[in-house]
Amino acid sequence: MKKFIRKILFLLLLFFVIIQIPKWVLPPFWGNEIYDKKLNHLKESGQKYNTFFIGTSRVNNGIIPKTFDAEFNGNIKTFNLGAPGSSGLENIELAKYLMEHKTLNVKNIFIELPSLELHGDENRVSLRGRYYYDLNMYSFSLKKIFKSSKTFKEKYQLWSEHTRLIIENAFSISIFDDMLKYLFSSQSSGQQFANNKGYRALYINTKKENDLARRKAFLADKTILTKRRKSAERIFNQAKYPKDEFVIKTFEQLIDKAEEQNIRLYFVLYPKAAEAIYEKSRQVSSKKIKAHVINLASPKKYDDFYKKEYSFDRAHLNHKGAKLLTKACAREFKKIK
Amino acid sequence: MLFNSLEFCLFLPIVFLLYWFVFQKDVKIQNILIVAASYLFYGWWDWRFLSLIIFSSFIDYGLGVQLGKTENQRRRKLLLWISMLINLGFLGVFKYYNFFADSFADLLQSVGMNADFATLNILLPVGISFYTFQTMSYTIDVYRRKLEPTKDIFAFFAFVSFFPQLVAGPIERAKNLLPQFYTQRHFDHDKAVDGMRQILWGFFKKIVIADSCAVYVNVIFADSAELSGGILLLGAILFAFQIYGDFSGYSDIAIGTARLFGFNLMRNFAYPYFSRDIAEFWRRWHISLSSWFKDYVYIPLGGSRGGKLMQLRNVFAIFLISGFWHGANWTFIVWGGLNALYFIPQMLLKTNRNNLAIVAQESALPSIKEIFQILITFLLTCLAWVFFRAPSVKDALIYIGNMFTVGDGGFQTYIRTLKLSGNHLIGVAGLILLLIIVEWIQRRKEHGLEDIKWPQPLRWTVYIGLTMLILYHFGDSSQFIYFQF
Repeated sequence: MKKFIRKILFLLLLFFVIIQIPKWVLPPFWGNEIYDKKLNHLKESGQKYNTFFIGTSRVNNGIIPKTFDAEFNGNIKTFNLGAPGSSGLENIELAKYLMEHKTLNVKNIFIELPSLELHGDENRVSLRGRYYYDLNMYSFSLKKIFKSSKTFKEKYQLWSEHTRLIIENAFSISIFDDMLKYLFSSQSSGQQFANNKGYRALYINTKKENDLARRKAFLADKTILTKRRKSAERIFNQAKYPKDEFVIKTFEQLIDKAEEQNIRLYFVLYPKAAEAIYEKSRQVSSKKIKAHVINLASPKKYDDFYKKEYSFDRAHLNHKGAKLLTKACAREFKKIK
Repeated sequence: MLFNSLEFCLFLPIVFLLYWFVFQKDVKIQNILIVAASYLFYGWWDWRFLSLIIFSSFIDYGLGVQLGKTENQRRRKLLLWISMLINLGFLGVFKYYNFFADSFADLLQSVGMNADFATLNILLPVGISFYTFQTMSYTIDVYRRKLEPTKDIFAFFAFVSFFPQLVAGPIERAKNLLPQFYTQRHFDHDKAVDGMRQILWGFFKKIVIADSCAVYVNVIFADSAELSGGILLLGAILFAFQIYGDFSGYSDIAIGTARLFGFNLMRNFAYPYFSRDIAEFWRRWHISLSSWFKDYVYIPLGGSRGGKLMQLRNVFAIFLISGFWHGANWTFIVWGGLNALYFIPQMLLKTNRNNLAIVAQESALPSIKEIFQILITFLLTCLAWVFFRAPSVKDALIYIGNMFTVGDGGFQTYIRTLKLSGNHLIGVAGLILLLIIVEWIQRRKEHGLEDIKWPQPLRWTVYIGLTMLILYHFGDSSQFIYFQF
């Protein structure tokens, strides 16, 4: 019996070691094509940029580096690292990566105020939703779950989801083929992701099939902008929100880490996000964090972002709106300065 | 719980360690652990349906005890009928009610009468046909006095619910499995190692072969009305490998898992695609079901005794019932009927027992004649599989009709529309070829990895290589086809 178990354990260990080899070779953000290509571009650019915007498509389609730089007389060199569908956990990792990467000249990081939850079911099983998930993130997630005020059943559910993910990732289950494909297929240069310093404009007269579909759906729904504005108003007008102490602590640690390296770190709230994102943002309020938040989402202050004229679809601004947003962001940043 | 799930990867070692390290001293406690683990395994899918297994187990256990107590033939027959009515009643309600209601309504409509039977929104309990047949075999054997009724309730409950084979077989005979629950099990290193190899081979067949073929099969069968010629033939051939990889893979995992716990389950597949005629195919495909029908339906009906008409009736009966067992759809009945038609000429010519031993028993390669026979048999089964896979008889007929049209049906364009490269299909063909070569070499053994005598480093390289192939394909893995039966 013992011989049998020894053999199985040894085989498992051997297998585990072999399966790790691709992970040692792969770049850190290999599973997110946009991050991967943009980081490659940064490596090639040396110390050309000093300011980085991290976040989802709201950043990718909303922040124009050229416009932002123009507000600062050449002191700021911006690169947009936004990637559609990226998760909050992934973005925090990217921010840490930038801070730790000494060959880059990082002065400012603007990170879309992230929700530190796992992706929904659909995304979680996809490569994009999980490739970055490691032991550190697992322990981080478990702490968050057990310190939260969720019910026992909810905690169990979340624990099992995270545990499944870490086991699957440890053994590269379901992503092994993607790893090999990455390693053995010729990678495209991905120059399109680095064009316009990482910004991707959404034009209202677009001919791109995917963009067109979203645009059509938006135009067909006459009430969506009003709904988004109202939900944002309701959340930002509500005086009190319960605090998520664990996320507060995490964000504060990130701020401290940035300060240690003389990097200025800001959490940005972008307009037209879903209700749940704003609700979460209200739960991470502390004196320290408040000083590092740039809120561009409040309809009271930025009503234009909720107007059709500046919108591409229900959640994104068009190119005209992006110009407005970038300038607003620069103004807020100057105020902090 | 699926074998190809993370839950099972955690469940199996936990149960294994408890079984051999904590409860190894007392066979009764081990049986209770098996029952508990099996109910957890089944309840993971839907705990409500556990009540069916528990009820069915109680009924057959109780009837068995009663059968053991009485010599009165009328009373014994009554007890047997009660068991049949309850077990087949469950099957009838959960599996066949809607089919009968719809078919009867269609029949009445065809003679100008209108009938509107309420069809019920019934969820088919996973594996009901498997465990029902298993419990029935116990009661029938006790009734026939071929088996002593058990008084050990935990052994009986473990026999009915034994998790490796609970949801998709092999359908065990009480005579073989039940006595194994009475005796102390001792860990046998060689048996456990062989079990692990068989599990590995089963996963390879399911996740690598079956699920890779499924990618093509699903779309080709869905668009069969628009396609023609070569691509439809390819779809039928790939389905033949899909269903084989899926079901025989499950059986290998089940048998291998049982071996880890010291049990021997019956063989369910014996390289059926190397058969030289249909009779041989049916001796090698889903052996536990074929032999169940032979023992409990075919022989009681008279088997091959009696006149030609009687024999014909018996052959048709067993194939049609076997088809119907697979599902409440006319497609399965036609599939069974077609196989009966394939079989009958052999029966009439008395050639159905010509090929009892495995092909090329004494040589490395088959003769030209044998290759020809194997190919013909394989193509005939592929044709029948079209009925098994198609959603309706009409769709199957259209599929077969289009299969004989000339042209490749825009094969290249079609493959491109699947967003798969030509290399992907070549890769799948390569994997199928690997399966055929390994199984050909191992055809005198029970499974593809049994008793390989290579040096350890080479053996371990094969294990790790196969595991990597399995991992490579794991993302597309799906439920086993036979769960629905």
